[in-house]
Amino acid sequence: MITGNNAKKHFVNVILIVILVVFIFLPKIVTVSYYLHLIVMSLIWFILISGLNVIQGYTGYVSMCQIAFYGIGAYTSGLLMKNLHWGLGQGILAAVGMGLIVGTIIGFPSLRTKGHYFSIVTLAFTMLMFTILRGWSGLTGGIVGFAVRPVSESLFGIPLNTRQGYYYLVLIFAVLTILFVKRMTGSRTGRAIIAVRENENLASSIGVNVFAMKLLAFDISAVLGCIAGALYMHYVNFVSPAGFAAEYAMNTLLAGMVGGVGTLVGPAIGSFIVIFLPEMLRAAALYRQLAFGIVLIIIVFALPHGVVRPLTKLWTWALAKIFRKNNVEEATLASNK
Amino acid sequence: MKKGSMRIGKVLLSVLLIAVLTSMTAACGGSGSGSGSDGGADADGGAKTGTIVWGVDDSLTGTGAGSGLPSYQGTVLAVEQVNAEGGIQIGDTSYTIQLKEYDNKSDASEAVSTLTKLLDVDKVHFVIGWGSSTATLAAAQIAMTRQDDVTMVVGNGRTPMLMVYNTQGNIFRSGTGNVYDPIGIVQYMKEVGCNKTGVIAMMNDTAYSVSAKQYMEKFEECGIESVGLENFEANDTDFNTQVTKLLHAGADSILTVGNIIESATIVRTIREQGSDIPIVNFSAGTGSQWLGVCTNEQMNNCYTTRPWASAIGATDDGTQEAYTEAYIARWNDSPAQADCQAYDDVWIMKAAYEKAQSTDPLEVRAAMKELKVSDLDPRCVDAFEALDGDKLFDEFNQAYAPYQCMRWSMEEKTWTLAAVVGRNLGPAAHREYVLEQREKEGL
Amino acid sequence: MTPLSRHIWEGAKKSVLKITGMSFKYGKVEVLHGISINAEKGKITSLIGANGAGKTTTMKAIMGLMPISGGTIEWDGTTLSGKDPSDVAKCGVALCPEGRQLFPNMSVYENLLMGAYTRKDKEEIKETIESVYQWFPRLVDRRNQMAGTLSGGEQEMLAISRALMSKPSLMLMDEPSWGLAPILVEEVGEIIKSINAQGTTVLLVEQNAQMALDLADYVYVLETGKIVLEGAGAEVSANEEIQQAYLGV
Repeated sequence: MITGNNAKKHFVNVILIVILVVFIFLPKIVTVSYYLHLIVMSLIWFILISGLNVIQGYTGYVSMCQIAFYGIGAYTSGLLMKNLHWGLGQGILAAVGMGLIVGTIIGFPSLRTKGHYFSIVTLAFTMLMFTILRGWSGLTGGIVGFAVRPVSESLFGIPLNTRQGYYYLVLIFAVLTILFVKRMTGSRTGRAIIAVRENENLASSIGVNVFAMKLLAFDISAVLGCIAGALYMHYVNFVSPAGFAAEYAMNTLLAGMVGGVGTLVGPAIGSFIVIFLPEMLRAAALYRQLAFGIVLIIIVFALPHGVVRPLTKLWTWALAKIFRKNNVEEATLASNK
Repeated sequence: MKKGSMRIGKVLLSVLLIAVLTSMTAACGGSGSGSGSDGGADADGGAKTGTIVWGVDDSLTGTGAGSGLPSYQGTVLAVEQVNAEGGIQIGDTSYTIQLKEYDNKSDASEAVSTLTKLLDVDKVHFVIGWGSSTATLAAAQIAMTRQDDVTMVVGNGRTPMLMVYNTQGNIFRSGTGNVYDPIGIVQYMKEVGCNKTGVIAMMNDTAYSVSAKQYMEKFEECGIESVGLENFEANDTDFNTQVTKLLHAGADSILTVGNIIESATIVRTIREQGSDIPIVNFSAGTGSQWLGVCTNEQMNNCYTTRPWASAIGATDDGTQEAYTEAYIARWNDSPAQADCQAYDDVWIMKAAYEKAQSTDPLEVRAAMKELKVSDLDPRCVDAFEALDGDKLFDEFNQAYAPYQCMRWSMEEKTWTLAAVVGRNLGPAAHREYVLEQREKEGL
Repeated sequence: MTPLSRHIWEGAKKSVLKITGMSFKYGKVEVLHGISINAEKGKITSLIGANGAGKTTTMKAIMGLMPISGGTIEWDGTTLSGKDPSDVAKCGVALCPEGRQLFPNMSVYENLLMGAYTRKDKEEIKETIESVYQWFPRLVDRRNQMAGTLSGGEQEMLAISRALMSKPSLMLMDEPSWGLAPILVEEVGEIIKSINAQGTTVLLVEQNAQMALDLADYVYVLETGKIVLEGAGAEVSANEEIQQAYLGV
């Protein structure tokens, strides 16, 4: 029997299913293939920023090395394909492994620091990664970068070296990412991680192994970052170290903040903004950079919790109106995503 | 406090949405629509006119802007000249050239996005520009998979790897690739007194690092001993450490590989340290650019070796002077290297259209492949080497121009032509390189 | 006050807190000079002293949030000194920290749930929450509200409840009356008595000396890092110097 809270939950689920269906049929809806390209990039960045969100939004540690994991994932998968002729699936698995290893190695020293110091240490790691990618030219091809052949595998009969096929691949990973993060943050471990952000000393006092939680969060962000990197590599089929320099760390930071801190939807909004906004501002020609900067400053100052906060309030208000519940807190509980 | 900031937040959000929606509609309205060309009778019923649209994809910002911006300027200069004289004549229709340009920010991802946009949204079939290697290589991956949609005409993006990816035959390049066998140049270096050479290069740059390595690989063959390799970055101003090291290591000559101003500063540093050894530079630049950094005395015993140095008086026929004057008049800026390549590409394109006598992209591409050097407008700056059958491009669509070795003349206070090297050496080395690399990459 | 269900306080019966010669250094400066405190099982022991005397430092040191430079801390025969706070918590110690610390962006319900982090018995955790709701009806109404938006008194209730969620055998309470109106201070006092009545050992740190002396079975007076006086509650209250210094008499 559908009543009260149940009705709301069903409504939310229906909306989610509709969104999913739209995404499945997107290649048919979007007629100009260029915009599908931007959507593919946005989905790849969604995975990247969801990872960042775990350490930054949920744990409260602002990381400047997510772009380095992006590069590590891309280079790991790309070099294995180029030199050892590994396939796409193996490349992604290798990227996951690399993420765990490097995440743990870097996490140990950096997570002993806090706040601004943590951000600086991770930034230093990004610069180190760039120097290695650029300097170890015997392995990586140096500053010139390297290319790989488009992948030869197919997904449900659609070849992955087409934009449509790759779109579905990335969509699947994006959905898996969102399910994973949702599951994790709703679990006891997820709550413990959030508790670390809320009050580290208190979390420790109630029995949370704070360092272990931080390291877990950092490893998750590294793995998701590396997966995004591998997906990127086999989409554009060319990388150079320049794309993972420290200046691009700012883009990840902004995508993480602008979308919404510590929410599931925030990374999606942030990624789409960071990918689409420069595109929409292309009309401003050389003033594009200026416009981009100004827009982002406005967002950061006016909406410090990200664009998703007012959107969530709007959503909650709408739900309350539709289901005519007096208790707004009930609505918050039901729409808790 | 919370309520107040929420209200402000809502206001700013609405302002933001409006601003964004406005710029979106502006962008949508502004982008080029329709096919790559159209023609038709005009109202007067007299001469027919039409438009041809080419995409221009260059590094207008970012680390490659030093090449990208001049490249764009060279393109525009040529197009304006062509249009001023009535455009491209096909049959009884005169076609005006229109350009749709995007900035790839010297970034691989941006290059992918901009090329995709040019093909999917603006629907062009020819994309020229490509002044910087990283962006060009990324874009080449797309060209390989969309051979029916696009022909890339590359100017200054000189990475030797480019033609490795030209498996579909839809990439052309006028700028001589850095794989061009440098043995002629190194032999010239030996002639002017290089026996124990120290090299100082921008080793973190995509193109310069490759050039430096290739020169050094030929040193031993030509009897030159390498005494050291020092690095510098773009916009560096102090080179004392590197120069001291090389001089201390016993260098009797120095080779610089990098941007013009930095190279000039290195020359000055060497002279200020009291050394008058021969200095060979990879850079181009006008005499006045070098004299902006060094004195005439300091420039004594200096040389450059470049496919084309935009110095007035470098060759006999006045082409280079005319170009330099036109460029300075249009842009209020000295020409570099990248602009010449892009400039020539426009003339190459024009010749291809005229040879094909069609606006069909595939027919024009086929015609471009068959172009002879004599088909080109005499205003072309590079003295392209005529290959077998007077052809412009080799089997991989690469054009060749010999290197001009220039010596600084104290009397004329500028670069003067000393020797022309490298004729007939290019295609064989290129072929070997491309086939070797293709095998490595499994192409 | 309705008593909480008996089963929650079973573990509280046998333990004793022994602090021997504990010192603490802040950088190079020693701020606790070898203090010794004993808290008898099932009793309320108070630690009073002026601001800066070292009371909060003592609490944090017991919890493991600060490393001590000398001495030992024992609880129920287990050495606590040197343990991480999360391990101390697993020994049955709960801290209600100074300043009513909560997880501000989590709801009241979620804060309570976090309090039971060391427990794995889901069904019993639910029962404990129900008991807490019975004890603190105001929290029921606010159970989905963000903890950061509660009033001072409600936050104190929540902080105490959260500490109770782990079924502790030792409750460390650091200035629970801080910033509360006198009526609420009384209420908190009653709650502490009830908690103790169920068998939990309480170590109470207070700047509000009157409250501490009223509640305590045994009192320690801490001044600039040293215990200057100790004794049964009544004795210490009667001391003239204490009356002058702390009770404004």
